[in-house]
Amino acid sequence: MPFPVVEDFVASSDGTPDTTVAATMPTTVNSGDMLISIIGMYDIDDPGLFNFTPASGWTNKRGGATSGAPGTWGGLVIAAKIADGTEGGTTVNHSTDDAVRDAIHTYRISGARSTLDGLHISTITVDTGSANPNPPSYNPGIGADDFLWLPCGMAFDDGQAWTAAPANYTDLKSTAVGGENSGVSVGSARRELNTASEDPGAFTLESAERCLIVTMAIQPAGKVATGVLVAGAAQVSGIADLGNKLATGALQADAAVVSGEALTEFTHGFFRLFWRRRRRSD
Amino acid sequence: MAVTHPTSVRNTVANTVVDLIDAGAGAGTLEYQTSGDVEVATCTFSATAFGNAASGIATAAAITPDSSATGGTIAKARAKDSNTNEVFACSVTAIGGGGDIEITDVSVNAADSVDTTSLTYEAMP
Repeated sequence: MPFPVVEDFVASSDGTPDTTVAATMPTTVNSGDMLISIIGMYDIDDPGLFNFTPASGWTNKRGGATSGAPGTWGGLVIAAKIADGTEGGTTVNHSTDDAVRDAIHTYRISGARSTLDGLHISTITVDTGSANPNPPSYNPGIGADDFLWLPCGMAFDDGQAWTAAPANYTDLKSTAVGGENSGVSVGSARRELNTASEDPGAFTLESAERCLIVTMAIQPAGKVATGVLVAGAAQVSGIADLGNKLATGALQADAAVVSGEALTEFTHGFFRLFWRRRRRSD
Repeated sequence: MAVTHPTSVRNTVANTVVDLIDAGAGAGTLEYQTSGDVEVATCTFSATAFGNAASGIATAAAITPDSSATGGTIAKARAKDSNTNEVFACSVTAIGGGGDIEITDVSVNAADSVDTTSLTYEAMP
C-alpha cells in the first residue's frame, strides 16, 4: 500500500494564558482525512497539574505531563480525528482546567486508515533537560508496513526552537511562543519507512530544555474491494470443452448452456465415431 | 441460442441466492481466502445482506470491514450465512485483474483493514 501522505500542515500558538487551546485547521479538509494535532502546553499561572479536554469529535489519543519549575507543568497531547469534511478553515477549541500557553502542530493526512486505530503512538517519555530530545523507539506490534513515522515533542519553559530533525527525517517543523521562563515550543518531523519498528534519532533544540517526546506511526489505508458478481451460465465452446466440463461435472454445477454449434459438433463427432466402429466390426 | 430469462425470473433468482446469506440467526459473512482456502479477512454483511433485486441485480447493503485481518494473499472470496453454509464463491484479483471482486492489494498484512465498499450480484441472463 502507498504511504500515508501529509497533505497539509498548520501551526498555531497562543502566548496568552487561558483555558482555551485553539487549533487552526487547514483550509481544505476532506472527509476521511486523518487530522492530528500535536499540542504542547505550559502552565505557569495556576499551580498544580492541569487536565485537558478535547473538543467534541476529537480523541485524546495520548497525553502526558511533567513538572518543571516549582508549581509549573508542561503537557503534551496528541489529539486526533477522522475528518467529516466540515473542518476546513475552522478553529477547533480544546480546553484545559488551568490557564496554559500553547503551541500546536496540526497535520492533515490522506491515505491513512479510516479509523483512529491506524494512529499508533508510543508512550510519552520525559527528557529532563537536554538540547537533544530523543523520541523513543517504537514498535506498533503489527509487523512491517508502509508507515508514516512522525516523532514529535514539546519543550518548556524558554520557548526554544527545534533546529534539527532526527537523522533521515525531513520537513522539520518548529513553533515556539513566549520567552524565557514563560515559553513553550513544539517540534515535529516525518519519514516514510516500511518497517515493523523504528527508533528515530534525536532532535536538536536551540538550547537545553525540559521536554516531552513521543513517536507516532501512521498506518496506511486498508485494502478496499469492490465486486460485480455475475452468476455464470457456463458456455461450452467446443467438443473438447464439452468433454472437459462433462468430466469435471461443471455442467451440472454451472447450469451450462451448450451452444447450438457445440451440440452439433458433439453430435457429428459421436456419429462419426459410431460409424467408424461399426465398419471395423463389420 | 443461449437460454435467457425475463427480468422477473432473474430478480427471483438473484433474491433467492442472496437471501440465503441471511438464513442463519446472525449476519452472514464475506470471507476472503487464499488459493488454499485459508481465511485472510472476513467482512460482515448487514443483517439483511442485499436489497431487493432490480433488473436481475441485487446490491449489497453496508458491509462491515474487517479492521484486523488475519493476513495472507487473497485469491477468492466465499459468501456464507452465519452458520458458515456457503452461498457462493468468486474470484478476487488486484484492480484490473478481471476478478469477480477486485481489491486494491491482494497481499494483506496481519492487522490490516479490508473493506468491501460495494458488491452486486447479478442473476444469469
